Amino acid sequence: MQSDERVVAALSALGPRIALFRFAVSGTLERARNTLASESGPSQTRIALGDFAAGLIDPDRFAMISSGSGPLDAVGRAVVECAAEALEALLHAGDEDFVVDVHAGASPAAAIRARMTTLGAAFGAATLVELVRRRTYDPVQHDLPLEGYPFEKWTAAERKLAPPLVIRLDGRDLDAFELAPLIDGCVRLILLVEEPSPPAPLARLVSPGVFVAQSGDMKVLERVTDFDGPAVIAVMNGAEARFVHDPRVGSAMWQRIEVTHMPDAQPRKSLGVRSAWQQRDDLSHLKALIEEPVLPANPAEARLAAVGGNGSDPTDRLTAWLLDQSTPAGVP
Amino acid sequence: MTAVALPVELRAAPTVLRRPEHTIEIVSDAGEGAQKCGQIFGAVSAKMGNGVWTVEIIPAEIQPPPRMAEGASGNRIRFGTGPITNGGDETNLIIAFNEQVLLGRHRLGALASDAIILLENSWATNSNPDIRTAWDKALAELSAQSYRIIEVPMEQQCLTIDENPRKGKNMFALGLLAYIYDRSLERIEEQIAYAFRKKSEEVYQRNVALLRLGLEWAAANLDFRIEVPTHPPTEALVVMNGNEALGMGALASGMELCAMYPITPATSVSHYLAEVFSKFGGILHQAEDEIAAVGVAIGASYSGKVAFTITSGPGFALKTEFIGLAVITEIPLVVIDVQRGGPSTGLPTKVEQSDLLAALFAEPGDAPRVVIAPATIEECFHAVITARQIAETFRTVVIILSDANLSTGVQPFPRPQLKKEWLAPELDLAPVKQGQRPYEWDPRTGTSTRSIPGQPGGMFTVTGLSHDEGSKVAYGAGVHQRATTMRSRKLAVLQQTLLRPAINGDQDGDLLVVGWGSTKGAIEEAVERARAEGIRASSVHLTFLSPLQPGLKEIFSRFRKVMTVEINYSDQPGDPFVTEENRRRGQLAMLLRAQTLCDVDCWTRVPGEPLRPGLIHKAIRDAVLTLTGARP
Repeated sequence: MQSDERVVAALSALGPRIALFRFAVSGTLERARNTLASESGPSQTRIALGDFAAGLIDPDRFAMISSGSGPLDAVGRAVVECAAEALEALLHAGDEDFVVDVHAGASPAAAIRARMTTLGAAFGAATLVELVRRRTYDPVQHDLPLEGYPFEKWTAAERKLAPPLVIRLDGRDLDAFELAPLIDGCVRLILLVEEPSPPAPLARLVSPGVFVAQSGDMKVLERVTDFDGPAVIAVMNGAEARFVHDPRVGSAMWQRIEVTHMPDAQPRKSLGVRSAWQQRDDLSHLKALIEEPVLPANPAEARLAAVGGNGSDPTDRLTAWLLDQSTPAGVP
Repeated sequence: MTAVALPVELRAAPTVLRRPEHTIEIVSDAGEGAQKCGQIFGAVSAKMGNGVWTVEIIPAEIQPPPRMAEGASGNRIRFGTGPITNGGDETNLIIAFNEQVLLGRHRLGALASDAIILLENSWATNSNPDIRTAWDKALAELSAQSYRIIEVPMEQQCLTIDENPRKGKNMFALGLLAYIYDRSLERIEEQIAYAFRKKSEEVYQRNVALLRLGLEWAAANLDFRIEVPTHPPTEALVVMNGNEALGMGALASGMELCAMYPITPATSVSHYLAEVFSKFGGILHQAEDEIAAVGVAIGASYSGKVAFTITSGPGFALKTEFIGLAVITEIPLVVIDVQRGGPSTGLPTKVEQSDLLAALFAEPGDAPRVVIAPATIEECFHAVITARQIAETFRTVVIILSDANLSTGVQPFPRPQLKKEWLAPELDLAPVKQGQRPYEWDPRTGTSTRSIPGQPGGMFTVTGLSHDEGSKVAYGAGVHQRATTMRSRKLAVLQQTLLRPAINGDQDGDLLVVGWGSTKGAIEEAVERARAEGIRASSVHLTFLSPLQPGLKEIFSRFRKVMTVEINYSDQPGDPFVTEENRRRGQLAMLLRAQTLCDVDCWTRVPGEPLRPGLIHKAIRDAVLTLTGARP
């Protein structure tokens, strides 16, 4: 496995995202506590109605009448208490809880999902607290497990707050296809890959809006600090390809992707889950991504020239274009 | 009459008059800055620990012809050692930039019989003979009173610093006041810096120089000073006018959008919000007209934003149709109406309480809404928080009735301790409960859970047509009856949460004065004076006007007579053709008579200025004397 220095550096780079997640957890915990406290402590309604209402409105009566603000029933109270307990535990999660060690031969995606489910309990708890707070909790309809809340159930807003993860794994187990469904919101997956590894395992994840990188050092992590989108970064120490796809850099794929190293040798043997052919295909794909497309000559332009429509007179150009558009399909 | 200035070294130390409170006025033609002078003096006095209430003196037109008795523009500041709750009665000291505006105030009875007058005297030697004649005539009329008139060469002095004679007198006058009342120069200069924060350093320096010039002139020429002891505040205070308080209240309550169209005297709320709202994520939208403004606010609220609109009487009239839409679609909406004199364009700059019935009933069809009225500038701040809470809890329209007295008056009050609970809750975009319809009225309370566009399962067609629980048009019999009942029920439910109003004074007696809105301070002061004379009078001030607070009928039954005091029109008993049957009464009186079946009388005036406690006191005395058979 990788040295701990890399884990420390990765966690340090992810610090703001971890803080954001913890902030969300602490906010939800406060809300859960307030919900419980309002039942026995100073009336929240009294405060919410403001000083103007003092002496004018009976807050207890107002709370009884206002939609969904009556006292909590026993079930609701128990649910919020459990949610608060789960949130409390998550709030005290250490940095090590954002590190996933994938045993050799195991599925990295499964391990990541499992950790996301555990940490995602915060989102499940938040949903439960809100449902109870609004008095819309239905034990049958909303039977959400507090020990975990799978990634698939996270809302778009929750995915924006996704806890970042540092994953230590064997390069042979790295399968980009399995990771693809997890790339959404502001998910951050930092893969600390131990060789041997396929040469371009993340090439297939390159798509608009997703920060993808294979790098030999940790500096690349700095580039995603203020990136508002999902990011998958593999930190590798072998002769694999090195590239960065930064969605902010350009509008076309070839503008956004920067390849700094391409392996000389073509893979000849299968490695872990990837066959030799797949590895070569990954490399070919990466090469194709960086090629600036050469557009074929536009037939319409050629026709414009033929009718004299490529002159500078706008009327000529418009006439030529109209003539071109009116040419029946199939007629040369 | 005219003070003759002796050389400083020959003059005795000035006489210091100690007073528990004083009322001053600074009056000029419009555009000469008397208001700015008054505002700064009021703010500084409040910060030094005086109780303060200011009243703007505003001509009915924005720019009336100069030197008109009716065109006085300026500020009245009543300040004292204790709290001040209203503009008071008569002015003790006035600074006038010309004799005509002074004459206007004199003829209105605004000045105390022993008032000290500091009058710009350049008009006496004006090259225009008509002006010199007008000066002589005015001085003759004023000199027949027992005023002390001190001529001040303001223009002559100011021209040593600023070549424009129309500029600078206000800061010179501020200097006079700073000397007379021993105000802190440091605080005044801070306040000038704030007032001219958008101007250049040069402008600030020129104003400070004029201030010091006025102070030095006063020190050299005046033989008196007035001490109104201050009590430095023990807690943090804020000093602002009612419109700023409304704007700050909107921020504190988590409002996200204010849609408005400029109208006096409400506009300055939007001026304030334009400076700060975006820093809090808010949007200030100036629409193309009043109707569009309320439409935008309703649309924003429909989509889940917390929105309000602000206007004055004529704008409120234009908004009525849309307010009806908010009522029938049950879209929460806060409407602030800063009342002015009406009808039509009426008295744009002057106070009146004539929109009460419009706020309650101006709507075709049955459109129940909540109406509340803050009584103080501090309450303007807090009222917005409560209004938003009620609007969202009951999915209804809440109208806040402020007025021109509150909007321009300045008063210090404890700095509000902001609470996050005042903010609107986060938008709930969780799927709606299975089977829940957009108007799933609780048959007991009329309330229902609001769906926001974008909530899974919460989509529905919002319609101004009468509709059922599913927002389906009411084709079937009974739907309209049920829906109307549910909308009305909410007011009954809200009324059940209200507390009985507190009685100021004894719990029973001869006369109960009932008021609402900005008259509270004046009414309570008048009642206090009457009680000091042995008159058995008490008062009740109503904050909720729809629904009315409970227990009124029972409270009224404990007094021999109940009389409202309001700034709106009523026929005077004994006027030609006016009978008990056809008499038009004050708006609150009409409401209370209808709701309580009590014989509620009224004393109302529409003077275009706040009611003075002395006049109310006299009305109380007359009413009680009539009751006891000793008709005055």
